[in-house]
Amino acid sequence: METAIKVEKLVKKYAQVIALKGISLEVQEGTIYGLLGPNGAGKTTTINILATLLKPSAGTAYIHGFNVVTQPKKARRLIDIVPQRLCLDLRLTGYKNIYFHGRLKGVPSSILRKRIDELAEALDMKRHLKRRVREYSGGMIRKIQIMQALVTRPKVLLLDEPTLTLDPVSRRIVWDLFRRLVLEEKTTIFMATHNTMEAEILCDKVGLLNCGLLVKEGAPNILKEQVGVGVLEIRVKEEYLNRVVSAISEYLGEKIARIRSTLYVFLDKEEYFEPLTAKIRDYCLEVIYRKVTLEEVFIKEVGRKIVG
Amino acid sequence: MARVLTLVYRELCAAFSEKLRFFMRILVDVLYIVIGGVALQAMIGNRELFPGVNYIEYLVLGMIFHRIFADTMSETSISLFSDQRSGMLGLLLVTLEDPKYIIVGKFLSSAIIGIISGLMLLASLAIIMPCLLAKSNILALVTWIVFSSIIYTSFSMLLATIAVTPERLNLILNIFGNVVAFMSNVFYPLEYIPAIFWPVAYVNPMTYVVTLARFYILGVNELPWDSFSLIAIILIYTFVSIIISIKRIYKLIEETRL
Repeated sequence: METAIKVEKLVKKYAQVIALKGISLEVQEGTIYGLLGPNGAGKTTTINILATLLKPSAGTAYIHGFNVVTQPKKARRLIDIVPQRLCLDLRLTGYKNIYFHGRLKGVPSSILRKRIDELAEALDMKRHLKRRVREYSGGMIRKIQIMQALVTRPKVLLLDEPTLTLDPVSRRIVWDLFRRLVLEEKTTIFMATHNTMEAEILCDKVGLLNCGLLVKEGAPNILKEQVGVGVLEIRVKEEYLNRVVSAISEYLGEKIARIRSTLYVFLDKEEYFEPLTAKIRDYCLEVIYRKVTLEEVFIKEVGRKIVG
Repeated sequence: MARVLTLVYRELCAAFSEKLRFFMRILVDVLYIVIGGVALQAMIGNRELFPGVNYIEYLVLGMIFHRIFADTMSETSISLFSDQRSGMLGLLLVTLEDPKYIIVGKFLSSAIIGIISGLMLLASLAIIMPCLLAKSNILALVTWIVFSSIIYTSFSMLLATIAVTPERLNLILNIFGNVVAFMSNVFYPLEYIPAIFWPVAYVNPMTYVVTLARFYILGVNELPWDSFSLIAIILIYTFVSIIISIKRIYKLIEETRL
């Protein structure tokens, strides 16, 4: 399998902040890579660099071997993007926005019309396509942006929070369209998201980006296994926070993350649940046990670590 | 080339998506000529403003070329402003691959909008007041509408690159356009403008475009230079505007993120 995207020690410095602190990653052709991270982690900066719209301060990136800094035109030929920003002409209809985008990318009219029809059918947008974009809801605008990128069938598709405003059913349809594109066309998808469920369901590989650093990378299942089998979500009474933390850490060691006064305890074995809960019950408002998902991996890496 | 033409078509579709706005602007100009022009002509005792040229004939040419300027300026500014604000410039760069295609597409569409506006006003006047245009060489008028649209587009592109905030866009659309028209010979001969504003009128590119149009069509030249000098001045203005606006639009495209 060919490497579709290669990022080497990418650094991006702005006047006040360093958005990327030397990230490196590789994405194989025909796979979906999810860049997961909190707001301001550097996801959109990475997408902008890959889209050739932002020059890195150091390091570089390649799209199918083309350097995005020194060969931007060749790189652009292979990519399309679903951006976070609006990027639509509000004065035009949804149909015209998609049509012109496809034509500008060089897709022949007849093929374009067929693809727009198919996508509109799939995303339930057929009756809305003749309306102007300014009359659309947020979800409809997102669907138009997704359709716009899908009609061009690019070699590499860059997605920035692609399903942010979509309802659950539409989200599933869009995920299905993305997966089909990968399987049928060997398209490579690079996706920035903070939706852990999206990353878990859709991505072959996930990278966790925090404060400009790639802190973890791997297949979603492997990342979950590394965290444990289950997680305890403990809402602690403020005044007992330190006491509960020391009780848990004595028992489990370095497996706690904290967001405000809620603790997340990662368990290697389910049988730890009962004895641990008995130990801390009186100091807590609520203790919930759940299986580990990518959300817990995210919380473990991105939440404020208080032990370890 | 096909992709540039697609961009031009897209820009035209967007600009003419609000047809009423275009028609209203033409209607206001026609009303100004048939009411204001006639009233002002009567006010000066129906005498000729220049030998063989009355005020309404004089005004018609000024209004046509003012309309072209106003429409190229507003459409270019709105298009560039909204594309920059929405991130569309970035998406266009990813799509078209080269910034120069975006610039050429925007330039051509703006010039075509100017031509359409000028021809629409001309056609409206030809229907309502055919006697007004009896003396005019229509072919020369149409040719000059095409040239002036190209010239005005170069100024409009430059102004559009300044309109990067809503306040500046508003300033350019509502104030600058009027000031340029008032401090030129669009509505009245230069000699009636207060002397203090003559320097502004003499550096105002609209003065030269309108003067040349009147010179070729009505035989009236208000400036102390021959037509070749006027053409040379306009070409210098156009060339400088194109160079600066290309540099500024490149910068705008480079600064757009998605």
